[in-house]
Amino acid sequence: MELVFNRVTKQYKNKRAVEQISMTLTKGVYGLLGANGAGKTTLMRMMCGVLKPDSGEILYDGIKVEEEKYRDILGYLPQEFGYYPDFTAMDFLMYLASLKGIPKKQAKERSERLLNLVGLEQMKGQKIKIFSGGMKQRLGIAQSLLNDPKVLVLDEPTAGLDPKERVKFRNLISKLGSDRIVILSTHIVSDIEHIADVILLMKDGRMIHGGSLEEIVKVIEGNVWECRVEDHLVEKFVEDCLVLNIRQEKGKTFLRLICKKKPLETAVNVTAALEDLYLYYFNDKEEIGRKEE
Amino acid sequence: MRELIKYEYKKIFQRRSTWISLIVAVMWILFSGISGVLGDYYVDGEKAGSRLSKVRKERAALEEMTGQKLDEAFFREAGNQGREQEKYSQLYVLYAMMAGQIGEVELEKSNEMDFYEYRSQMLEKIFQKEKLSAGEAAFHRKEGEQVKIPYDYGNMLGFDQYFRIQGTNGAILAFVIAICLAPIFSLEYSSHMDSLILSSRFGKNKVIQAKLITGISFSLLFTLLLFGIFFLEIKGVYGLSGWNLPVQVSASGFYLSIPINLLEMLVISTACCLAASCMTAVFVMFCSSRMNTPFGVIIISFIFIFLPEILILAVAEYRSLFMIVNSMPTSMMHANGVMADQLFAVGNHYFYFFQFVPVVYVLLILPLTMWIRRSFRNHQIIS
Repeated sequence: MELVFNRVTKQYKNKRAVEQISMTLTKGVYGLLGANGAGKTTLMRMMCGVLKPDSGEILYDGIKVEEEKYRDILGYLPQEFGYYPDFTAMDFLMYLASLKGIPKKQAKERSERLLNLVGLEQMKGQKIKIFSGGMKQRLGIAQSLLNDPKVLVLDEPTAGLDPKERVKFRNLISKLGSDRIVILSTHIVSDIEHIADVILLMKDGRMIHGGSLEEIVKVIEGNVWECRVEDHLVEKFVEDCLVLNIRQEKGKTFLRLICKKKPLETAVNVTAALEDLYLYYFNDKEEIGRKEE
Repeated sequence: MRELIKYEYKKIFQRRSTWISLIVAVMWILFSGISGVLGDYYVDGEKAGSRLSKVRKERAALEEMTGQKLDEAFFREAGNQGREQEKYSQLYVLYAMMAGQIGEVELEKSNEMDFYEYRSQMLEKIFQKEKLSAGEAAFHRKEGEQVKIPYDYGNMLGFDQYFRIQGTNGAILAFVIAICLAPIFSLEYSSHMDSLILSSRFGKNKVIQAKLITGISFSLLFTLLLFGIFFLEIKGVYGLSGWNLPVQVSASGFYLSIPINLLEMLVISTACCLAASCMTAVFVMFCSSRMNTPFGVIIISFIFIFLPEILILAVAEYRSLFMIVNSMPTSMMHANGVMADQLFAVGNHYFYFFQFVPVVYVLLILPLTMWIRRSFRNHQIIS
């Protein structure tokens, strides 16, 4: 089971959305992390065969993603999840099951099981137009699993879910990742931190970093500090370091920052987290942070 | 495939716009069928009675005449009895049509020979006006010779009324088809369902086929349904007992030379309506597959459907333009468009519009459906 990206490139007018991405994904959960406009959604669309790369190709065990054979093993939750407002949840799943070529009887069983799994069993006869954002998102997750996909692509799957639902979702994805390729993108760093076996960082259309959490945070390991400073000194730290967190604490200002050198005698070196790495790469002031390197 | 078609129908019938346009269309059809019997009629500016009673009397009188022929005895009696007699009122309409083309002709002073002679003169005048080629005119003369003289007479009121209104009803019907089918592809784009469909197993093949089958079958079934309602209504009000009369005894077919009866004309024009609906449906689906909103599709379709109605009079003098405009689906829903005198010539063979236009439609529908297929399967999800 291998999903191979071979120098995949996509350009929109003057903007290069995805640039020369080459990688191989095998079984497991992949978390795609990047700022808005980094090219995550474009990459996922190309992975699902709904957007053609300008150059390069994506193959699943030698099958092109444009082929029906590939679509048969694909589950996809797009970022903008479309639906028919007047369809009931059950109708909607049954329709998508027929699009996926699942026999009617099997489709009914699976739809009921999945509605149960995402906590929508009580709503199966209700029209989707009355669903809340979170309910629609859960329905979207259910539809992506209808054909028991070997490749599951989830674009912002946790958007609109409350914390309890997110935890449920994470557990579900963790289970699913054992025997298939799951790739998901989200802005919620903690989701990726908890689920993903491999984290992929995308920036300006390029895959800038990839690996397990431990591997990728190594870049900033030893450079993350916490300290409390007088209010009037804050500006100096903001100029010299990349400030990750700032809050008032007992008359002083608490700072979490990235600095190559110890910024202050009282500063404590702390374990780097994925969020630190995300801010390191995607914060507006990253240039300042990098200046020190 | 059946499941997918079922869901496509479900999508169509779950839209409020579908139901509103269908209801409006049915109401329009019902109204058009009885429009000829609403209100009163006037003679020399004075109210003479209700139109319904007039039609009833005419219908009864004409049905009584079933089996009569437009022969010498008929004209003698018609001349003696005068225009007040309901059974001759349609004959006066035919004389008025001839007078409009060749000048003053009077029923009272005519005999059988005069009638057929006047009619021949009228046709020659029309051939000149329409700038028919010598070959076309000869073809029509030859066709005319095959119509049995003297003509049979009877109740042609229903068919006449049907053919007269059929074109307008056809245009309304085509527009309703456009409203119902405009979202078939474009709504998938605007509702963001395209991502889910195109990434599914059948999203780039069977779904497109299902949509095409749904669109075409919907247009055919809807046409049959509406024209069926219209037909039954006309039958109830005017009667259709004169089905075997030659088309030449009705006002709608009086200008024609083709040797067919009214029922045959009905079959031909209905077949052309079905072909035109099918072509309209494919055109609408083509636009739908290329545009991102149903509204844009409806606007383009509106122009496509109603422009020929306006253009057909303006282009009557220009042969090539006339051939194009009269081949458009809306024109093919008019009985006089289907039976137009202008012919399509291949060597020494001449073909009526109803003979060659359906072939043209098939030739257009095939590449269009392939184009639709290509447009949808290659649709790129960008925004």
